[in-house]
Amino acid sequence: MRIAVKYCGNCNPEINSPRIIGQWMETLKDDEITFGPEGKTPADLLIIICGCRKGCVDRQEVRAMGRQVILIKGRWMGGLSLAENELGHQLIQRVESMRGALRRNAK
Amino acid sequence: MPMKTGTQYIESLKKLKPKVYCFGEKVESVVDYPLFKPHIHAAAMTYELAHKPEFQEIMTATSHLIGERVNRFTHIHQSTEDLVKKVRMMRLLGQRTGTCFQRCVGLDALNGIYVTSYDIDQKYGSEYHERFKDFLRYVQQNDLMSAGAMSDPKGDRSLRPHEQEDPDVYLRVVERQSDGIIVRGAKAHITGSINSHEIITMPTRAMGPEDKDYALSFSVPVDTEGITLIFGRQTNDTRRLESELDAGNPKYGIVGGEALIIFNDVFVPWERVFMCGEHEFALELVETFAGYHRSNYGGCKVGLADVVIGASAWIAESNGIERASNIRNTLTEMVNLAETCWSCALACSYEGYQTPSGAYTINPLLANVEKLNITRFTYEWMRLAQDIAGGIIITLPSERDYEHPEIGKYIDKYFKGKKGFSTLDRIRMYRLIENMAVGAGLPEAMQGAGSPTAMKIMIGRGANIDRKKDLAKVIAGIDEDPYFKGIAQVKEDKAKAKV
Repeated sequence: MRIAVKYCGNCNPEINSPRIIGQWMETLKDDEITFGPEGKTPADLLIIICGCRKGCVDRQEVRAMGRQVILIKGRWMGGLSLAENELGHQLIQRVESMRGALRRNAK
Repeated sequence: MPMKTGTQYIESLKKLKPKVYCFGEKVESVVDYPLFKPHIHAAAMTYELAHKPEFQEIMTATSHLIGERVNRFTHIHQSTEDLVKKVRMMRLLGQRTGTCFQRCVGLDALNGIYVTSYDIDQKYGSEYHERFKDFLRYVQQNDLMSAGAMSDPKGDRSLRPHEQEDPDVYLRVVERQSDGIIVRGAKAHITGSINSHEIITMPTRAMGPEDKDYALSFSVPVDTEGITLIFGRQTNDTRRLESELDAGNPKYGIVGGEALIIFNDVFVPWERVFMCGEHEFALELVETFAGYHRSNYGGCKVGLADVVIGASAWIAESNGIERASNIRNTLTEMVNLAETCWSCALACSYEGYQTPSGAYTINPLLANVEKLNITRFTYEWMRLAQDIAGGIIITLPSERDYEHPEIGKYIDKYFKGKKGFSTLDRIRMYRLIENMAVGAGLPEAMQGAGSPTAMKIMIGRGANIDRKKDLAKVIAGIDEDPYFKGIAQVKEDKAKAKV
């Protein structure tokens, strides 16, 4: 799966975004990971991870770089407010859930 | 177009019959009661300016619910740009009234309940949010003024609501019926409540499971049976009954006009109930409302600062000292303080974000910093206004003396300043400074939207001190600096403290 990760820039973050992404990346095997919305074709999955609830990088042109999007804004993910140490685990679960859905769709 | 003019707003109040007491007497007509008139004029400006093309961009917005242009005081913020326009509107109205125009409390209640009722429904599958949207459509279509009522009397502050000796010192549900609820208790210090159409209540603090009867939010018309309002006194309030000149700001008054609202077994139909028992959401509503409300103060109070800075500069000029370096320095310091607060207001708005409800809210840390600055800086710029104006603001003779056929000429002669400035105008300006810098506006800046302690709690909660410690440990060389490795070209194991 081609997965793109877009950081917000982390000017004054509430969370340690690189650590959360690093925790998630340790669980990956064969995925192709890129950072930043680069390339001409959208990634299968785009993870937008913002250091705070402002979510300043959550913009239309950024979202267009992924067929599916997971958005983390500070401690908010999927409409839930989580503890920081839960975010990595939640991210792993959501990516795996989307991977499953993609496989089902491909069949 | 669902927007009232100032006159239409005042006319609409005449149709209401709230039970209001002031100075020990029942007020027959709120609109005609002389003590209330300046407050009503200030609120009417929120309506009137919305019809002026020069203010329309700030004073109005397009409703996401009814699709029509509405007064921004009834609008749910749909973007950070909306939040910015809101504080611009506050500054504009502060400049144009020189006082509190009262209507922002209801605006913040509308937005706070919009956000929280959505979250309650997500957890419980309840219908509060849809009910609230129906109510909001009604508010927008009729351009209503709502009094946001949060502060309970609180009794013994060391006890929780359910522990109080008198259970009514926090507003509560006393009976649940098939068609609605019966509520009892009071809300205190509620701005603009005597001249609002609706009263919107919210809980005042965090609640536990035992406090569920106090976790309550609803709206009722101000003249609902069982509601009594007792108007509060302000410094020099009766001057407006005696004369125009001595009032200082005779058109718009001083502060907002606050009242104690008593709910004596008031029936509230379910369609007007937006929280009832969901105690774990009480704090969310308090904080959401307070965040919005605190963000306003860097707008409205800075608008007031603009007026008092102008008054101070004019007085200095009329005394012939406008070029003195101390005067110029003092005015510059006043501007510096005011614009610092304005910067906070803009910052917390631009740094706002979308909530799950779709509505936008401010950055809570910055909004609390803003309001904490207001609690200090307002006193400072008003102190500096007193400094420039001098002791005359508390020693001037009255308007009756000025108009007296025998002694008036002495006041005119001996309080004259520089050529080209009349004594009458000087008295007007001194009285305006007295009104703004000596009166009830100061503690209002301190306590309105919560005490400084409440802001410090919120600032502490949002400060993220642990991350700051992490940053310090990296710079001090205690923890690894992952980015330094790249620029110093040192091996990973040496990237810690050894440079």
